[in-house]
Amino acid sequence: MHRTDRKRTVGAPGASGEALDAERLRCGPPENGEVRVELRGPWTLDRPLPSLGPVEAALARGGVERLRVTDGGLGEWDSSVLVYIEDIEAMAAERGALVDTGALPRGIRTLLELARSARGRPIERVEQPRPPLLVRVGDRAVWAWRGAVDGLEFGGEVAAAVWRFVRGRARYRRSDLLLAIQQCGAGALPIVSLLNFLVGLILGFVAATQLREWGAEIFVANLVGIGMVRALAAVVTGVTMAGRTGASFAAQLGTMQVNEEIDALRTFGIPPAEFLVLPRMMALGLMMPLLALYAVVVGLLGGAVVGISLLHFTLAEYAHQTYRALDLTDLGVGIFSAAVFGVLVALAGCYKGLRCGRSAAAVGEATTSAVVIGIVSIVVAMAFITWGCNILGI
Amino acid sequence: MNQAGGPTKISIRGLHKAFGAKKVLQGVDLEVPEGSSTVIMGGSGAGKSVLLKHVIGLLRPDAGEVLVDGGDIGHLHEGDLNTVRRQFGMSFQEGALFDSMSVFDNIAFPLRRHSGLDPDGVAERVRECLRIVNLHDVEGKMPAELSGGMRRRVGFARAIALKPRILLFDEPTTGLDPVMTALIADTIRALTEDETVTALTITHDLQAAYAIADRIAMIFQGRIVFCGPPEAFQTNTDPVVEQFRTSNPIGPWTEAEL
Ligand SMILES: Nc1ncnc2c1ncn2[C@@H]1O[C@H](COP(=O)(O)OP(=O)(O)O)[C@@H](O)[C@H]1O
Ligand SMILES: [Mg+2]
Repeated sequence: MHRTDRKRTVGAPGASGEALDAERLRCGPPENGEVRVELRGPWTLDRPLPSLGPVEAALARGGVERLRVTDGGLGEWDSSVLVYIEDIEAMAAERGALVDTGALPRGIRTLLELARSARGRPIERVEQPRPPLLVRVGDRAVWAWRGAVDGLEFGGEVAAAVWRFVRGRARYRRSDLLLAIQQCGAGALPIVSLLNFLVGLILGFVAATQLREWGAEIFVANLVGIGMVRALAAVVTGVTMAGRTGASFAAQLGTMQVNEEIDALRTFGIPPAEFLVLPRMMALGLMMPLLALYAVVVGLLGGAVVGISLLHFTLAEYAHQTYRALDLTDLGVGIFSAAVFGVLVALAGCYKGLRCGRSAAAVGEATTSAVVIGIVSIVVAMAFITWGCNILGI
Repeated sequence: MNQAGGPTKISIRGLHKAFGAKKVLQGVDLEVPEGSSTVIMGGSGAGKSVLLKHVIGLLRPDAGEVLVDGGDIGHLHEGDLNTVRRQFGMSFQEGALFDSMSVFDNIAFPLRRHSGLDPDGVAERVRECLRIVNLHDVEGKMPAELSGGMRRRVGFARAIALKPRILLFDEPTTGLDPVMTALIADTIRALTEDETVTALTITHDLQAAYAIADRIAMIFQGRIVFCGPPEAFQTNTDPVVEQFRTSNPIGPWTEAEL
């Protein structure tokens, strides 16, 4: 109730507002070039400030050299008075008039002085002068070099862990591996289905509109088939897993870093690369090919929907054409890419998690950059694989 | 009684560590004799935890060295470090329990990895450790179900499970009630009765410090400004030590904050 009342005063500076102004501000006529401004009544931030109109009018009449701000029975006051006086000062300065605040209560004078002294001094901005170009380039180079060394170190640790695994001596928990497999397997099916179906559909549709011009509609099956099997199923699934599982790996390990669990692990002489990274990497490296295989099927279905509904092939015709277009090497390349993407996404997630700072915000950052790095490395790896296949003629 | 007269177990010389522009350690020198119990005191953010993490090689020094049994920890390869760490047990400020494991599995973790005990032996040792820190019926609980003080005690139990030669305790008594604080202090004291067990403990609690320590070291502005037996600590007139000891809000500690 009270609150709404107050709102109304603020919101409607109508008649009642002006009446209030007159109660709190009295601005006398100029006498010998001096105008008296009397402040009275309560001056608190929860009330609207009186309008500066009367003061401005007095100044506008001209011939005013001095504004004397005095205490005409001030009630409760707070910084709203200071704000108001500052406004008066600014206005007076424009007209070349002086403001005398000597007659105000001591508290207000001290605060005004404080405000003035702070204003005189330029506010120290944290902004530092931009270092010269050479320094910046050097800094970036050092930074990039450190990053590269750190990444290599991580790679080395993981390689050592893999080597121990190959010799059957890796220390990790089977349950961690199973949990990671579960996380990146069945749980991911719905989103992987949706995305790959749509990609197959889009690919089919785009191909159909183009190929129809040449009367070559049946090659939609070839295009969708080869596109999905060789590359797109793996890429789309990989990107999905980067956003889903890579991010969750980064968050898990980042949280462990914040809780000092990683430190505790190391005090027991267990390398995190072995105990934490290895099972996650294996899980994603194993599950990605299976997911990609599934994604291929769903993607081909998406293409078939276009072939059947838009181009009026029968399912058998479309399937037969797809079958003729593909061979096992295509599938092999797709599956291989998927495994590589899986390992890369897992490594990006784990790396960012392990190098996470010691705050909740840092976990968020680690998660975000794990996704970005995961996706970028998928695309780069895809380029390399395509290039390699080209050279090998497969 | 342990006297601070054994051969040097841990030797820290001229240790420097900065995080970015923030200089945390600026030339720490500390000798820790074998079989002694040293308490490290200092304000929050003074770098006590950072110092302790250097002793076990979790952090690498920017400059200076950390010698354990004469070997430099700071420049060891991670693989060799893991071997050296077998003789260490460390408890962390917030417990640092493995969140995905039950209390039992947490304490059993180092035992299963390194002790060579059979499952029965492991279970027995886990129960023994839990008894030492006076925790009952928590074996099956997950860390998230415990209070901060309980987690810290489980962390303590996990640190001593393997009966390590070197014990590092980061604020084991913070947030515990007076009775539990006394219990933990007594436990640390009892562990270091063994001439071959060396302990480094961080605490803010003066009472606990007097109970635990053969020697008290005070860290201030990145250096050790005092190191000596508790009696000397109690009579020392260095303003840094005095302010800390008398809980005075005015003095070098509070000036340094400005
Ligand atoms: N891993 C880290 N990265 C960056 N800064 C750190 C790190 N660890 C500690 N610090 C900083 O070092 C200082 C000392 O920390 P710490 O040793 O934890 O203090 P305390 O004496 O309370 O245990 C703090 O200012 C902290 O912010
Ligand atoms: Mg600390």
